[in-house]
Amino acid sequence: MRETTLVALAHAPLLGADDLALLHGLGERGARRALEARVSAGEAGTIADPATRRHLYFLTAAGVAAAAALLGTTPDDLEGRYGLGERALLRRLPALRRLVAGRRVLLRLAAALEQADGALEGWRPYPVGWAFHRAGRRETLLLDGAATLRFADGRRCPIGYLWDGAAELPPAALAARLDRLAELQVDPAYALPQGPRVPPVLLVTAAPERLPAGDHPALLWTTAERLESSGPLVAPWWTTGRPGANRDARTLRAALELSGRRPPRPTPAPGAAPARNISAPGSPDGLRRHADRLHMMHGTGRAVRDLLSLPLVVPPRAWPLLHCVGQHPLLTRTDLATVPRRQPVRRLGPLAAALPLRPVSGLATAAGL
Amino acid sequence: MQQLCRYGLCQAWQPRQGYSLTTRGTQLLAQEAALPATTYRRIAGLLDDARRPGERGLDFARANLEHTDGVQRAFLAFLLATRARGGALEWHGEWACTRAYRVVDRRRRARLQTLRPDAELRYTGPGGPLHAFLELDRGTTAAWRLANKVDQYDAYRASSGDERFAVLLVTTGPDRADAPLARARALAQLQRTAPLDLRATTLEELAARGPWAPIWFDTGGVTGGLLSLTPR
Repeated sequence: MRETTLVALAHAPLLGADDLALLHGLGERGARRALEARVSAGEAGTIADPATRRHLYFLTAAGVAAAAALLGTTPDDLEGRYGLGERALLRRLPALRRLVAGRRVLLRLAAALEQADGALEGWRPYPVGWAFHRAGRRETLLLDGAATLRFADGRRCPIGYLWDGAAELPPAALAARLDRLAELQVDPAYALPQGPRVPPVLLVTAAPERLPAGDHPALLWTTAERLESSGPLVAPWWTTGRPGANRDARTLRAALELSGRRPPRPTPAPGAAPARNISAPGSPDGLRRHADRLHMMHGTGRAVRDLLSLPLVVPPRAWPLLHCVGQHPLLTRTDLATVPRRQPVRRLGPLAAALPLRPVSGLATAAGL
Repeated sequence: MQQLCRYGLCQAWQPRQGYSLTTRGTQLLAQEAALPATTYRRIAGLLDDARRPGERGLDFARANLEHTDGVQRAFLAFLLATRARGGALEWHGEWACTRAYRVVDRRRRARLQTLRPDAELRYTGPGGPLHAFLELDRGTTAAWRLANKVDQYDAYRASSGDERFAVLLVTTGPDRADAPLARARALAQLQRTAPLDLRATTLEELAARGPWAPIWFDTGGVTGGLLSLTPR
């Protein structure tokens, strides 16, 4: 159990017990015990998921070294490949909801494939960076995952994955990501004479209306609701356009067949260059140190410089407020209290609450929440 | 808000005690959407303290505080009315609703112009949908310049082919709208087209009675409401 737990945490840092249970077909209590055992051994640390108050686990430096030994690679290589360093973990925090909800789809896909005598190979959850060039400049499309689907007959299909299940994000955010995907698909650096080399991309969206009109080559999409009710292999997947415009929904396998066989594209992992030294948290409390430091700085008048640490202390109700301030600048505190915001995104509050932080006085009143 | 300011995500502007977003705040919000900050800033219609060439942005909003105040009062009026109706309101400030359009000059050369409304709103819900541009007049603009705005909207309508928007002119007094309304009528007669959907009211009435009340008078001299549920 130790081995599978360490390997799962290497593949998917900030993993929950229910995620591990889903991945390996265990009971949740058994999965939690396995994870807590790694924490006790100093090989993993934990933070609380602000949305669900579940604990999310990550590998410490000792855990990275142990996982690397199991996988037959070096700790530096493993850390670089999967972004297991402390800074890489912090970088995930602002998008923790995206990470957890989006990764759940990959885990369900892995479980469904395993049941069908297939497998999800080489999978990586958010953030997966696909580099491309725009007007001579190097840009990166951040995907919510990448993997290779192996079906029972041995057929392998590499895929990218985009998650758009957060209805409170503007639909234009999805449109912007698809625009970047379209630019990537026509980037000559990734084209081969026999056809495009960019693998098909699976999109899971909250509602079909969010999908921008137009043709989106090699994009297979479905809704989160249908995925939830049918499972990823059986749910209807559309190749392009909206359901009204295109009634040809197919199963995932059939849709992938339609989009064509594409050789895998060597996509660089975030921070693919091997790190010089292991920078994974040295202890299970590694991430908490950041929050402690911010707590100590509170009230000292010193500006907080580390942007990545802020999600540890900014309460979830402050995020919609921040959005509102950006859209309606110079509103007074009284006016801000009357402005409705996006659906409250319960994110990092419980995490902050779990830490020894000072409560944010007056913010709830100002936010009108 | 003090906490957000301390973390450098917002800043308070002392003369008014109003708050604005910083680039750090934009960066944090953009990370949630898995997009670069510049892209997210554009698509979400955010205005932060970044200084880019050719953009008036926050400095303009601060320097023209009365104008900013007026637009905000209009926004709050629409917001409360929308909330009361159970609809949804999408609002873009002037930094996020500019439109490029093509005009042909006297020498028959095509030129690109930019339409700069004070705000753009999209209402969906009972009686909707409604798509409108907002123009706020504080009585400081010359009448001819105000009428010239009507020409710009008319040219934009012709260039874009979009006829499903209204132009809401919010003035300080009822007389201020006479010239723009007359100009819209004159343009329609001249071009033999339907007049621009221009409605006018005063800021006082808008704030007091709300946007769905029959407070808008149009180019036909008819007073009515904005939505199909209210008399037009």
